[in-house]
Amino acid sequence: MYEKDNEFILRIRRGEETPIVEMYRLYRDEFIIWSTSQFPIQIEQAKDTFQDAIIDFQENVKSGKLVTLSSSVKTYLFQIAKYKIINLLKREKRNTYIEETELINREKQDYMLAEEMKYKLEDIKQAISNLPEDCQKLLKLYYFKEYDMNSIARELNYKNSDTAKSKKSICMRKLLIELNKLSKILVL
Amino acid sequence: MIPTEYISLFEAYHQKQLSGKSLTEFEARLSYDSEFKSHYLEFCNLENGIKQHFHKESLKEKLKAEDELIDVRIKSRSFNRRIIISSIGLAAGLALVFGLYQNNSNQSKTAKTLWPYEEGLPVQMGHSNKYNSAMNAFKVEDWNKAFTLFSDFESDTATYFAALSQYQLEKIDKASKLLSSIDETSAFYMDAEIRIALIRLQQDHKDTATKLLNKIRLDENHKFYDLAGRILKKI
Repeated sequence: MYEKDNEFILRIRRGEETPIVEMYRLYRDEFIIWSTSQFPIQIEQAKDTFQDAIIDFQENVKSGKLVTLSSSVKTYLFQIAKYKIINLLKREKRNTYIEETELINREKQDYMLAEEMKYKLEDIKQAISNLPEDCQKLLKLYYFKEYDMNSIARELNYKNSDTAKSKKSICMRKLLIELNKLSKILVL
Repeated sequence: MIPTEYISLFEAYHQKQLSGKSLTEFEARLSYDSEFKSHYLEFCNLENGIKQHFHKESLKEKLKAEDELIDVRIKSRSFNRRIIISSIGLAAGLALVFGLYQNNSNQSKTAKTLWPYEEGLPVQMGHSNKYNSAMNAFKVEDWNKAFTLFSDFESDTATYFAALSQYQLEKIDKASKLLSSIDETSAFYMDAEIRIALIRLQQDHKDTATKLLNKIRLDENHKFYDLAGRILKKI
């Protein structure tokens, strides 16, 4: 029934990133039109939310949380994005959205789980953005690009790997301080 | 909240820098110290969160780049649409200008086509006098000579033929001025009237031409009553 959608899932599971871009290209404009007519949000917010929904979709597929769909990819994406908007509006203390939350039975769990996770990741995102630029670079090199300490030292012009190591520890401490400032209990 | 003093220890463990006694102590503490274990798990979760954050950030950058491409395409499409609309507008404008030009051009053509033929007055052949010479020059379409010779006379007839000579020399303003100077009592007045109307058309003074032609149409006995009607129909 959803041949193309299942193909998306298969490709994502194989580690491809192009299906993400393809899906975004396919449904972005439709989502913008729909969401801006249903909720008091701007076009840029709609784009941002839809991007996050697609990323969550990819994570759910890769992690095995989502194996098969009971709806089309489009419906699934729109649902994730919808709850993201609702949470966004809640955070902005704007409860004037047109549609009340209507969770769809089985899929409710997935969406809410993704949202809970995202809410905590928001803290990390915020805390990282508050770090000095060199710390942000270092953490990205270590955790995303998976550089070793020698490579980090070369890339960031540190004296040696020990300097990189101690700098990384300093950055992690700063990150914890920032998270603490956000007054959130970190239970990921 | 993870105590900051644990950070270096947890990092060292993850980077496999603990060995021997320190490694054994660390792993033993994880099994008996639940608080320590909880902080360690919290640290693991934090590291996973950081990884997820950067992974998402990278994907988001890709989607934002795609966003820009889509928007550029939309703008380009709307730009192309604007170009098409502008082109249509421009074409319509040109058509209008061309139409006006054509209209004016047609008016001018109509005026020239309908310009009544004037064969001149009967004269004696030869050049026994200046008047004959002028009229003969007019008849053989030597317009410059005709105008020069007629200009030496002060009569409505000479003025009329001088005007027609000027007209043929495409000096329509001068022709018009001369024709306008012909008195109502002149035998050439009616000729002058219709020719002034036609000159006004050529000068793109359609309203004045129409007034003059309508005036002619008020007089059924006017020599050019029918012609005035035809011209009015055409314009």
